[in-house]
Amino acid sequence: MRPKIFILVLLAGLAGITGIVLLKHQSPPPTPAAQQVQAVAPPTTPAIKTEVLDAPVTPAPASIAAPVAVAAPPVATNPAPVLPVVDSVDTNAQHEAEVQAQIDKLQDLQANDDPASLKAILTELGNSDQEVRAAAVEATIQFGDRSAIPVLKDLAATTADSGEKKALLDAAEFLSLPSMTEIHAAKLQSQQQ
Amino acid sequence: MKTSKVITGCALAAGLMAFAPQSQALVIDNSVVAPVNVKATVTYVNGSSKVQKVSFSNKDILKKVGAPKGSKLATWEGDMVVISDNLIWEDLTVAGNVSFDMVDLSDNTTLGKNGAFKYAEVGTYTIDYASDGDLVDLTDNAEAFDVSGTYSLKVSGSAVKNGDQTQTGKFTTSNLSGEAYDSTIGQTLPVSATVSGGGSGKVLVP
Repeated sequence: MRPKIFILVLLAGLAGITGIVLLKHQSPPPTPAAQQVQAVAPPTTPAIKTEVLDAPVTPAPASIAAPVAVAAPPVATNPAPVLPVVDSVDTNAQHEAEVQAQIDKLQDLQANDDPASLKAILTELGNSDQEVRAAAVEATIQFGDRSAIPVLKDLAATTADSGEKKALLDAAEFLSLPSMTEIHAAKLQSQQQ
Repeated sequence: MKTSKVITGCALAAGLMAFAPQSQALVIDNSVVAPVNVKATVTYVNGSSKVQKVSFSNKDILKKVGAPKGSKLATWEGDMVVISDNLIWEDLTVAGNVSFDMVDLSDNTTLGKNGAFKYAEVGTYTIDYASDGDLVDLTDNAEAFDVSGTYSLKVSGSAVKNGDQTQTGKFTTSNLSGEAYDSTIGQTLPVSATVSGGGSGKVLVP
């Protein structure tokens, strides 16, 4: 083989090997979402990160777990405050307080008499939390507007749970009754006439 | 990192935002104010021998006592009160319009760390309402009722942090029944009722 050809083959071989090595070391850029999660739970605490992210995606635990996951800087260096051994009594208390906050909101809405408040109450009839749904049925009753009756009946028709179906139908029936205030007003009116 | 974990992490954060507390909790004099829902169905026979029913709920009581629009019924320190603009507008128990009694028949407390606790109680419950303040003779009122049945009460407290504790209480009744009087109908009538309520708030723990 001529020296010129030998050198060309050698250079081509080196170029190929360099390309392969470079490709091997290059990894795809992380997605924005991955970057975000890494920022929250740095790679120094892999066990904690996995435990937090593996939590079920149900509203209740999320609202309790999320503040822990979001709890910022000390999380990275000291695993203990990240996921403390949460006492179940305390965990329940926190969750109950959060559900109660939503129920409190319904209590505020039911005291009003405007269409927007009724609409907001009726929206909560489809809340993912059974306790909030039950509170929404109660708030609908207390709001006392008969325009909610068809909504309650329609929802009852599509509700599989027999207990909730009954509650919705009972609420519709209650709203259809004349109220004590209406009876008194009707009597007063007839006396005046 | 698996994509599913990333998505789950984002869902958790979104869940937190969706469930961000819109706290309407009210604490007066370090006692949680717990809004209450009262509803009752009074049954009677009309002049045509037909069985009729009349409903009775919070707004009937609030209207009768002349409470401002947007007022709420609530329990506070063992009394039934009317809350308006986050203040006690009237104490209906002091005024003689409402009295209630709870007889604890069975209870249990579970203690957690740092003052956290769970408490549950069941018993018998009686509530009297008299629109004109005569709780002894129902017929002296325009509207009145006296019902009793069973109740269940659950209270929980979070761990104490910096002297603060979030306390949450839930109260439900079942099968309340008794007598009602309505001056329009002019008779003592059978009534079935339910009373439920709950509240949450941060209190200072000594």
